[in-house]
Amino acid sequence: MAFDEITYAKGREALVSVHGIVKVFQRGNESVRALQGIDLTVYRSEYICVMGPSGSGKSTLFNMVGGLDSPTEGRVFIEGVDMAQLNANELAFLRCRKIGYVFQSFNLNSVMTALENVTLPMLLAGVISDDARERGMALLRKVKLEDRWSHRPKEMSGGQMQRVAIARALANNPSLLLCDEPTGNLDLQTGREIHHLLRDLHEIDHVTIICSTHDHNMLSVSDRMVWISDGRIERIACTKDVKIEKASLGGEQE
Amino acid sequence: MLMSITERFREIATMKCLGATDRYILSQFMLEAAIQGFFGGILGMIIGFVVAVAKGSVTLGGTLFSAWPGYELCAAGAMATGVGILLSVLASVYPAWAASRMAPMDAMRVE
Repeated sequence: MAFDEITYAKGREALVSVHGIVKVFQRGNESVRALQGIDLTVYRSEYICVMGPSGSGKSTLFNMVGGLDSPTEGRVFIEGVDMAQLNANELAFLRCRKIGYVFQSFNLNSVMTALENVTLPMLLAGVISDDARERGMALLRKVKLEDRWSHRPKEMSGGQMQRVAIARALANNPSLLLCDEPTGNLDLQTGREIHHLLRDLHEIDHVTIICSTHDHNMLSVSDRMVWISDGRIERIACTKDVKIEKASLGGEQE
Repeated sequence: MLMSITERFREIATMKCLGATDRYILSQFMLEAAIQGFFGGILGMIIGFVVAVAKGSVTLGGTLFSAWPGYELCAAGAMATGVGILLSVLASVYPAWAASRMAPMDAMRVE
């Protein structure tokens, strides 16, 4: 079934709008077009999964939407703000308060405890430390790690580290959670826990999530799927219109 | 300091993703350099003190202790610590500037 953007957009508020973005990287004398004109609107409280093979431009698109890199052509708007108009300090402000990042390799500070990692973005946002501590504990409770608040990353499993990273991403109540293959470094069971956590954040707290993944469990709870290939959007579909088949080599599947 | 910054590129890029400004990263590395310089200076002062007293006691014998140069030792120690901090901060200016200019998207890279 073809995706009807006009019908889908009715009653929804656009949070991120990407208009005709092109990204060209210069490698020596060669120009590589990582993105070749992408148009995409992400609505508030939506859960989008972005899929595509390696080198398809997923990460480049994430960098643009997350304000980590600027496009060669085109515009990116977050809550109506054109990112091209922002200076370095304003972009830092946006990254601190409007966008939460979850990385495949967790990227926690190894010398800090779970609580210190979670409160770090709050301190960067100028929240006083008592309030940051209280909110950090509430976030750790939300990701079911309140009893591990004093543990350092090396004392935690991969799944626990990713849950701390998700709590850190939510530190300043961002409008958007950007997850770059959040289960990519985790085993199937742990990946499932992360997928349940993101699903709960979406369904209960109405957090807007953009997630790149190959995990079928994550795809099935998203609202929309976006396929990217060769720097272009190949297809957009509502998840309810897509039949997701899971392959199995034996054993139980959820 | 340059080694420390190149080894910590992911941490720096992650900090920038979390909202750290260029100025914050620059201050963090300059402060780290100053603290390193302070402790390096203190260590150098202690070693210098031990070596100087040992050498002085060999060449001057008991005279060294009867005319103990307390003020000179304190002044030399303070200068050693100050020079340690200054050199460390000066040596960190370029690496800290390079760290502050690092692209936040490096945090997304997977090793």
